[in-house]
Amino acid sequence: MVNLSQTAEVKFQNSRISPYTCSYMKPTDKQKKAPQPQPKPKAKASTQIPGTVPIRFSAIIYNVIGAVISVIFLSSFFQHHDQDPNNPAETHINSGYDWMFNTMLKGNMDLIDKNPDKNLQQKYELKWGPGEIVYVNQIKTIVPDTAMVLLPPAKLFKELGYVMTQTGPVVQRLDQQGCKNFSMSDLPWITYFLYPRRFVYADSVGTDLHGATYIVSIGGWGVDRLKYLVEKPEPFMVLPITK
Amino acid sequence: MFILIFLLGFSLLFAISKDFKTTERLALAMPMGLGLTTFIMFLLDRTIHSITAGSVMASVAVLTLVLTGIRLYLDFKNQDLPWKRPRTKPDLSWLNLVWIIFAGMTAYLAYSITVKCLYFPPAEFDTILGYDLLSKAIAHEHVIANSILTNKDMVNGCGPRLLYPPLLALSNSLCYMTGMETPKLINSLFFVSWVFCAYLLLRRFLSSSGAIIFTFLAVVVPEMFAHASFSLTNLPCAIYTTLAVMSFVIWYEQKKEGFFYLSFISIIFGIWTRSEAVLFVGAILIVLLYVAIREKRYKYLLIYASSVVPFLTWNMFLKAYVPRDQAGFFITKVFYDKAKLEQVLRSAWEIMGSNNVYGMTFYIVIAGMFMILIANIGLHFGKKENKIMLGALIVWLIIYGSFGATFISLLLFAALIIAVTFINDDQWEFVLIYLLALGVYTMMFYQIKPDDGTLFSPGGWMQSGYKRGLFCYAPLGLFMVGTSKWASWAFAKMDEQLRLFNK
Repeated sequence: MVNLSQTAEVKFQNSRISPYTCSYMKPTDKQKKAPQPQPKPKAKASTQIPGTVPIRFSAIIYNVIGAVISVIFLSSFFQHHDQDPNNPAETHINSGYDWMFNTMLKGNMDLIDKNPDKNLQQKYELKWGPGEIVYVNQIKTIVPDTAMVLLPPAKLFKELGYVMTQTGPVVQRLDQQGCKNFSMSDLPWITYFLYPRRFVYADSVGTDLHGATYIVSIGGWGVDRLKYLVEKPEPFMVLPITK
Repeated sequence: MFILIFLLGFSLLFAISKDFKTTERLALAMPMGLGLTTFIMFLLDRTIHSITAGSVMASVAVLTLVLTGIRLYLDFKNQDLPWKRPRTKPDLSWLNLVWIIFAGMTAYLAYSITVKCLYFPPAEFDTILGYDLLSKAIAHEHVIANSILTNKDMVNGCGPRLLYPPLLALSNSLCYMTGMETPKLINSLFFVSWVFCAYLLLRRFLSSSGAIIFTFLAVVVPEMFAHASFSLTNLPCAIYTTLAVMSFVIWYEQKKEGFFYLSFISIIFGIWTRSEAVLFVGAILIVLLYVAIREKRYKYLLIYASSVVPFLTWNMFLKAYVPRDQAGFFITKVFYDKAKLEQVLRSAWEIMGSNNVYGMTFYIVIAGMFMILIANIGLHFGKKENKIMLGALIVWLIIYGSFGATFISLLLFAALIIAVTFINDDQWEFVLIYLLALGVYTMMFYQIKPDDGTLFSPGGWMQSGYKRGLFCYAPLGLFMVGTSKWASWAFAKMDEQLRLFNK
């Protein structure tokens, strides 16, 4: 893999390639056509000693013109268009760049500036709202890393969900308006947030606890599996199976 | 840890060849270092069955020293030690106001998206139910075949995203091993390196203004830019495949040996991120077959063909360790379904042509391809072959006007532009690799079983998978157009006028 054929280099100029790149070329596998002669540098520049050449006036003018064109180009490239309420489906030629720069990037930068010191949990809440992630954090706080947790059966997750409120999520029946499904019905999803804790669903183990030492009780489900009485039942609880 | 990985990448490039400039080595060091580190981790898993921060760091350090030692020994033998080489004078001839404005804008965008990326934790469905879940398990259990990957319920629950080649999962696990809460540093390292790599590789063909304008256009592709803050495999895969193709074109056009090996290593890392990168290997092998037949030299063909080994290795690993229900989603026989073909092509263009998704990218690519056709035919019209090509272009326009964008008309257009660039020696290999890979990639979706209705549905295979898979093709299309003979000539002329400082 190591290239040692430096000595075999053949020097020739290639007018297609910028002077910055390569004027030294290696023997080619493919026989290229004879390169066109490099355009001669302007006499004025070529007679000067490097480093002492004054900046050409024409170059300054071209740079100013180029800069103005670049600024106009970038301004129109990222120009913001407010959505027309009468035609919400309307798109502009730069709508992707507009969204990217003026909505996604600026919105997120503002959000970050306003919330610089949030922890991981709070950042998830910032992104997703105070929903299921609050319950996930509740499990994380109560259940030790090494434990196995018994989750309700799939049937229950088809009946119950949660709604987000200012004070956090509230368990509701799924047929209620604005009620969302629990993502924890998905084994990889809940495992991702709470790994290395392990999870098992009640319908996959029957009445056996399968080594679970904690239980997630939703809407009163699972209280009967505990070996003690719950004094203040809540719609969502994380409880040890034995006290 | 990450400084060591950077040094590993730097020493790898140092060992491969002296063809790379220092700036190129610096830009490429992180993606190369991360790719090589994941191979070391895989090797550690297969040998000592323990991927720990300590074992990874020790292996990375040893390999860095070995690679540096090899290079220094060879340089010593050739009496060409780096510190004895003459120093080049600083050159500011590339600097002008247009460059400053576009570079400033690109830097601002890269900075902002990096801040966003590092602030928010991973929240994408595919990373939660896939790569990052595996990363956490690798970091905690120190093996790849861990309690997640060997759990059938988990594998079936995650679907194919858990089974992608392990480059991103292993890279992410490095963050967890070193005590970070999230692996988003990896995405930022990839994206920031990508900006520099794109610019520096473009500089091999283009003047500074041209290179920075096309770097800017590649950075601001809306969907790709949004993904710069996501922890998904698509962007790293696009970065590696773009590096592979660009390096290959540099090798082919400028015969710089080191870039062949850079292309080879980059495509291996691309395949080690997502298997679909193998499509580029197929397209590059066709060019290498042509080189092999013409030159009667099979070395490059054989070397490049071996880049599929990681693809095979990973599939064998999955077969050996991962329990899963065998449910292939491809139709394995050749068939013709006109309605489905039309729908695939229509959906593909809806995504490519959507201003919200890819902005003006593919419009620029198409306009650029017409520029390549017209400039090459028109400016070399004295050539007999170009007169034939003009006739073919007129015939194609009639076919397109009559039947629209059908499979046949698109195929004929591809054949026409490849022929024109071949005849006029205008990076035909770039055009062939690009169009062949894009064509096969699109046709892959034609081969997907439509049974479950997710092929064309919102969030389904085309709307999600195809859309993200185009990340490889958006920057490459821009670069193909930007580095063409006539575009690079025009930018060189422009920079001649803008030049403020002489060399």
